[in-house]
Formats: sequence, structure tokens, C-alpha cells
Amino acid sequence: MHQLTFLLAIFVTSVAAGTAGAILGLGGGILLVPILTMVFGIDLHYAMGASVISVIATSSGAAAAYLRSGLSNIRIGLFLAMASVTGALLGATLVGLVAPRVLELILGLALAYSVAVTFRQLRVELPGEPGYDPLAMRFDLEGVYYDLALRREVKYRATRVGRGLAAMFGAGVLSGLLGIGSGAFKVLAMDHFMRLPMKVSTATSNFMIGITAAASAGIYFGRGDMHPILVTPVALGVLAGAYVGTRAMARLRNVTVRRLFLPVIVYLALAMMLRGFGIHLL
Amino acid sequence: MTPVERVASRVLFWGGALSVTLMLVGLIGYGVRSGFHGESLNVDRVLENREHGRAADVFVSVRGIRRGLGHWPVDPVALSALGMVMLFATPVLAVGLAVPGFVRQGDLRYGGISAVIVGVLVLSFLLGAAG
Repeated sequence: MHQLTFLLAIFVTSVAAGTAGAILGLGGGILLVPILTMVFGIDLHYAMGASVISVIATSSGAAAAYLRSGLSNIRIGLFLAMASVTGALLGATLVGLVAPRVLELILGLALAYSVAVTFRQLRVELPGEPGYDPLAMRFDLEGVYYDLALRREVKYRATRVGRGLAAMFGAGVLSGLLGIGSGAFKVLAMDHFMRLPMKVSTATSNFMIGITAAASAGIYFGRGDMHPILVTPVALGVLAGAYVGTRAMARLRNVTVRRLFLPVIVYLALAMMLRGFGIHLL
Repeated sequence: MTPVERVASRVLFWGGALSVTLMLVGLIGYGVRSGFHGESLNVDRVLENREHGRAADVFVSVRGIRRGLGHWPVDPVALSALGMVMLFATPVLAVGLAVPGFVRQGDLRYGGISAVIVGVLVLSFLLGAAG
């Protein structure tokens, strides 16, 4: 394939990854890495470097729009990011001390449980009245946004913040230890534990994933895993996709976003459990 | 939208836009000079990277990028690499600017939380640089 055609094909793939990433609060890496390696035959190291760039580009494009529209909650994002970046740093220092396979299997089982919970909540548009949580009150973990799909203002407040914080820390440790992105876990922690509206969860995750990815970007760059010619069409495509995705997500109902999210965590649960048995899908 | 959210949103938008513009200009320059056939435009970097088993067009340090931009005509791949580094510095800058933003609002708790995040990010950069 001519180099220009090759780069254009990567750009088109990245537009799709960026659109999905902006809607679902993921970096698009779970889509990009297998496609770049299996379809385009790109070395796994460069594919992972491109994935880190795609996460940051999605986050920059989507979070800027979501902060303006009020869907992304900067306080909740920063509060939880404190736990996830600290966990990621700890995870990175534990590499070699903990058997990754055991963790992957546990993570796969935890995700399988999340699949069941998400399936049960599939028709829930908005969470009910939140219970009292002292941490949520003390740290102002609440907000309001105008829902274009419901055509009304939606007020929300986080609950079970301690569990959410612990899940974020755990996701950060796994992210640092296993070298995986953790957008899906961030969304699950906000949606399941903290009972935030699904759209707020994915939009706030978009803000957070850029911060977490920035923590590992320097390491990938220093290792020579980021190829400027390869990551350029990825960044351009993902940013264009994020533009499309943010506009689409604002008009979607929470149940639709959750339905789109479900196959992603089914795939992740299977992939993690298989990794636990030594079979790598991503 | 609070002032902190406005600043974070603008930094993320303009940081992302400026970074990908630089990357695109670099890619176009690379195409013009090599016709999208060239392996690399800098012989020293090709030799150094081959020694370490890396691709020819990869930069691994800001110093290397500065070298690529320090002569005329500039190395277009270095321009793309500069855009790439600016892109991953963008979220760090957004959180960094949130520190004085929250403090000005009188919200010391979130000023502190933002400062802790920036501290952990800087520590991870330093650990990464140390290998």
C-alpha cells in the first residue's frame, strides 16, 4: 500500500475510534490497538504509543466541548483523578512484583459482574434520588446540566463516594500495572457506585482519561514508541471524530449510551479473562 | 460555566487544535520533501535509532526535536513530534492552570487536589525519564 493511502486509511479508522471514544468516555484505544496491529500490521509498541495519543486527543476535543455544555463535571473529574493517577503511579512501580495474570483474571471477573449490573440497569434513564453522602457534600460532588434528549435540566449528586474513589484507585493501579487504558472502569465507577447519570459519567471520564494518559505519555515517548508520522493521522482523525461524537452524545438518551457501552465491557471482560489464561486479544 | 471550567475548556480546545495543526504541517512537509516514499530525512537520527532497534523517524527527547528544528529548512518530522509533545502536555497544563483558578475562587480544597495531581504527573514524568 502506498504510504499516503496507508495514512488516509489510518485517519478514517481514527475518526470512527474518536467518535466512539467521545460518546462512551473511552480513549478509543481498545478499538485502535487491535485494528492498527491486525489490519494495518503495525508493531504493537507503535500501536500502543498511537493509542496514548488517541486518548489525549479524544480527551482534549471531547472534554473541551463537554465542559462548555456542563456535561463534564470538573470537580468530580479532579477528585477522582487524584485517586486514579496515584494508583497508576503505584501500579507502575509494582510491575514485576505482582503476577499480572492473576490480576487480569480478577479484573475480568469484576467486569463480568459489571456486565450483569449494566444489563439490569439497561432501561434506567436517570438514577433515583441519591442517598446522603458526607464526602459528596464536603467536596461539592454535584451538578446540573441541560439534557437535549429529555429537554429539561437534570440535577445530580454523587453517592457512595468512598467506593467510587476506591474503584478509581484500583483502576489506576491496574492501568499502571497492566498498561491498559481505564476509561471503561472510570465510567463504571461513576455509573454504578456513584450513581451519576450515564452521560455525565462518560463526559467526565473523557476529561479524566487525558490526565491519566498524560502520566504515561512521557514514558512511551522516551521509549521511542511514538512515531510522529503514524500518530499524526491518528490525532487528526480522533479529534475530528471527537467533534462528531460530542455533538451526537448530547442528543442521545442515557439508556442509549448505556446500550452502546454494554458490548464494550462484554468485550473487555472476555479479553481480560482470556489474558488471565495467557491469550491476548488486546 | 465557572472561570476554572472556562480556562480548562479553552486550554484543552486550543492546545489540541494547535498541536494537531503543527502535526499536520509536519506531515505535509514530510510528504512534500519525501513524496511519502522517504524513510527519514535525518541521517544521524536514522543511524542512532537503528542502533536501538527503533523506527527511523522516531524522536525520543525534546533535545532531539529542538535539534531538528534548529536549522533551515527545519525537519518536518520534528515539527510533527513537537505537536505530539504539545498534545500530551495539554491536559497537564489544563490541570496546572486550575490550581491558581481554584485558589482565586477561594476554593483551597480543589486548589490542593489539582496541585496533588500535577505533582503526581510531574513525578511520573521524572520516573519515566529516569527509566
